[in-house]
Amino acid sequence: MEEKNHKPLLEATEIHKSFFYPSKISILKGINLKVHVGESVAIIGRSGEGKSTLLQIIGTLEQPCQGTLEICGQLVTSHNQTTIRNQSIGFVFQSFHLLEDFTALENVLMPARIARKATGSGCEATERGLFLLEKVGLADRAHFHTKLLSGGEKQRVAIARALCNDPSILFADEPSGNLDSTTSASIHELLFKFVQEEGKALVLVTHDRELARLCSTQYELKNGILCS
Amino acid sequence: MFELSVACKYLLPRRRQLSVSIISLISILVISLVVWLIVVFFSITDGLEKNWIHKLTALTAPVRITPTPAYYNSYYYQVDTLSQATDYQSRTIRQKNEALVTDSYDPAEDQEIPSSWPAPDLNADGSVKDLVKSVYESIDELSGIDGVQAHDFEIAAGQLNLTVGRESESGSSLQKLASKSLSFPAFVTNFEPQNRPLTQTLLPLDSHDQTNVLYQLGSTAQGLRTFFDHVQVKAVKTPSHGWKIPLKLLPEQFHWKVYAVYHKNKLVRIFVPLDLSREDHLASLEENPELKVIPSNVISNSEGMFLQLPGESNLTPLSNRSPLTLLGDTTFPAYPLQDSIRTAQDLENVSLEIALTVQGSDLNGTVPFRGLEIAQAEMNPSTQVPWIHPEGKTLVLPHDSILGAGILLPKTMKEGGVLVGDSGTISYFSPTASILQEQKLPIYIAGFYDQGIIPIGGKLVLANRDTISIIRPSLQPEEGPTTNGINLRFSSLNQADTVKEQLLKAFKSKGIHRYWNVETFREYEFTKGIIQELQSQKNIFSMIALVIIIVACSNIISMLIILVNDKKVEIGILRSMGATSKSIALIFGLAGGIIGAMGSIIGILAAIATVKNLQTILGVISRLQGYDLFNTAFYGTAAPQELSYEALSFVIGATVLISLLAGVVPAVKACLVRPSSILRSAG
Repeated sequence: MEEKNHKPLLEATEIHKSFFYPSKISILKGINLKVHVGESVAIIGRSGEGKSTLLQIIGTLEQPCQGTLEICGQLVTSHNQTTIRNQSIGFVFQSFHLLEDFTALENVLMPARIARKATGSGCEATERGLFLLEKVGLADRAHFHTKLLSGGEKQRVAIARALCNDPSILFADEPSGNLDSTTSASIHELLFKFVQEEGKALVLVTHDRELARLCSTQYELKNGILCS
Repeated sequence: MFELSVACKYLLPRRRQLSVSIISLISILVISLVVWLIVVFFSITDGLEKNWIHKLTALTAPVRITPTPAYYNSYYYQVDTLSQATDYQSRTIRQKNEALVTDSYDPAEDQEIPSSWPAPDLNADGSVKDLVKSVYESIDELSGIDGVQAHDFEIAAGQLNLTVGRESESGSSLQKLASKSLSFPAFVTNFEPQNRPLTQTLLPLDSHDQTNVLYQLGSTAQGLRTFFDHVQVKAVKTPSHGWKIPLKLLPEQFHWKVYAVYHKNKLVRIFVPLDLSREDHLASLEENPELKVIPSNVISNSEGMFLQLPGESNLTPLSNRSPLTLLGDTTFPAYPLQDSIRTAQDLENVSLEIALTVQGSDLNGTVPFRGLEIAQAEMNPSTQVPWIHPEGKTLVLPHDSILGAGILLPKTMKEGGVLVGDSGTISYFSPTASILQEQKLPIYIAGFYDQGIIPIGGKLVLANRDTISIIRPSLQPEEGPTTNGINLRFSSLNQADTVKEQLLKAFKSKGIHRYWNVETFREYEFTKGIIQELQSQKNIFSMIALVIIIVACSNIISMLIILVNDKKVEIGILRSMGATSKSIALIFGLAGGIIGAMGSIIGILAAIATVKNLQTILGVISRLQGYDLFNTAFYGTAAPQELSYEALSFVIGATVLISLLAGVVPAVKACLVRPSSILRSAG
């Protein structure tokens, strides 16, 4: 609880989001959220409540209609959002979203390459990529094309990729939604292990209450308002 | 650069994106075809243009200085016609330059100057300005130009009459050809011994020329010895109508396959092939309905020589006079006997030692030279040969005591049947006290030059300056286009405009600019049209080429739009990892550029291979078509083999630029992809 006294890694203030087509519908009605170092936050709610929209807004992929967002002490603007996405944020999606033309290692190293880091053999970024793949138990699959991997393996690669640039916050949108229960459990374990070991913050969107209970903080999105 | 690696991955052919792969492949193929076409076309046209310009400047010069009408009307030019010191004759540029005195007029001796004449241009000291020497001074003052040479030229007009007679028989009719006379008006200009570029336009002496020279010189003992002193005959060939084998050369016993030729049922000739694969030479005989060609045998044994016709067991005896004729164009080694040359009074007495094998029978012995042609000969380097030859750093156009003054004719005359050694006259009109009298100057052909495509090239005869000076008075300045002037040569053709600019400036400062025209080779009256036509052809083709490249590259737009649609999710993923919209645009721009570059590279490599082997390719196409693809009269004997770097840079620049431009629309489309909507819908 001591950490919560420090400046939060993520601070969303009065986030509003409405969609105007085919008719106006307000999804988020003044969301306030703070996430601190080492904290794992679960956002639960029924389908269509706007969980994923909230995640994409706090993950800088979507613009809110109103409200401000600060990540790692920086106010998110259209000028710095790509840098913040690359340096401070990691995404894990339900559908893995790997680049199919590339190998597992190339996928993991893509954020580093976007950050213009050297990714040749023996480079720091490559070493980290291999280390992460080893951590997720895929050291022997590093040079496999991702289409040859199973669903669980793909999600492990996605987790390793999300951690490549050593971000402060990890966003996960139904990370085990497409996996069986055993694989889901191992993926959950992996995510929490990384948060604890590497001192990250985790924001998790799920409708799985069991998974939510593993997080240090749980919120429920209901009628566009975040409730504890 | 991750954008490049992503672009490359996207372009790799994959089954999942078959449409993209097929369109990419078609795009590359079409672009490479277009690039190949453009590079080959421009390389050929550039090569031909260079070749033509080379010939043009070899015969004329890169820059010419010619007098204007103001010069001919000037006091400086006209005063010689009043002056006793110059024999009342106007003087040429050369004579003016060599003259010790600029103003030859002597008020005490010469008649009064007409009042209609313009006043002379005077120097600051009051002396008459020397218009010709001032030009040469300006040439000497040229700076930054290497290898400047100035030679004055003169052009005279005359009628060239040639007698072309050959000791030949037509193969089809077996009739003797009469000698023919050629007569045509010609411009005679002076041959410049220092004009080395002319060497490359000279046609080498071929065996027909050598044979002709021998037959022309062979009427005298001195001519024969001159010829054999400089030419070592190594092999001879039978003329196209065949060669009667001397009876003394025939072995005692032989059995040869022959072709008996009958004319109105009378045996007129028996053709003997050297081997049995020469039947093509009989084709012309077989076409003649009056002649009957029967494949037969000739048998010779101790009882005599017999003809055995097919299907007949009876042998027809052949008299000793029955001619056995070796088929035409048969080549065999031969060595002239030096003793016979030393004692011979004419070609009739020159003997050859020959050795050949006819269908397995050896024929060795001595035969007379007359009736045979030179097939292979080696030249002894010498300064006395009666045809054009180099001597040190200059060229020599000889004057032969027997044949007359040597002249050079354009290549078209050789194609018309004229050979080196043929003789004739140049007739011109010389003014006498009362009438214009026709004069004839004996000349002979000492060589041929390739005139390229100069319109007056077919009528331009090159002769030594002393020949011109005899003919010159027959052409007045107002009659010819440019009868007198100065040819200016220098190392680099690219400096022609600089030379002209410097000269005009110098002329202006000397106050003589209104008396002289300075023209570069692109501005000559007789070449301007051709060079402009060439340029406009190239411009039109460039525009067409550009349109074709645009059409070819438009395929890239379709391919990239499909690719952007296929890769929407990946664009969203890359954006979620922090890729900027510029990076996304660059990925698709690069994909377009890579296709353009690949097409260009393949096209350029194919073009290099084509241009380097152009001669062979043209030969094959010409054979398939049955006629020459390139007219040698216009394009020269060898096809251009140099790649046009101008075309290369044009093609590379245009293709890459248009490919990148083609990538703009898809790239903008890719930038506008919203990652959130894509990732959500894909989820």
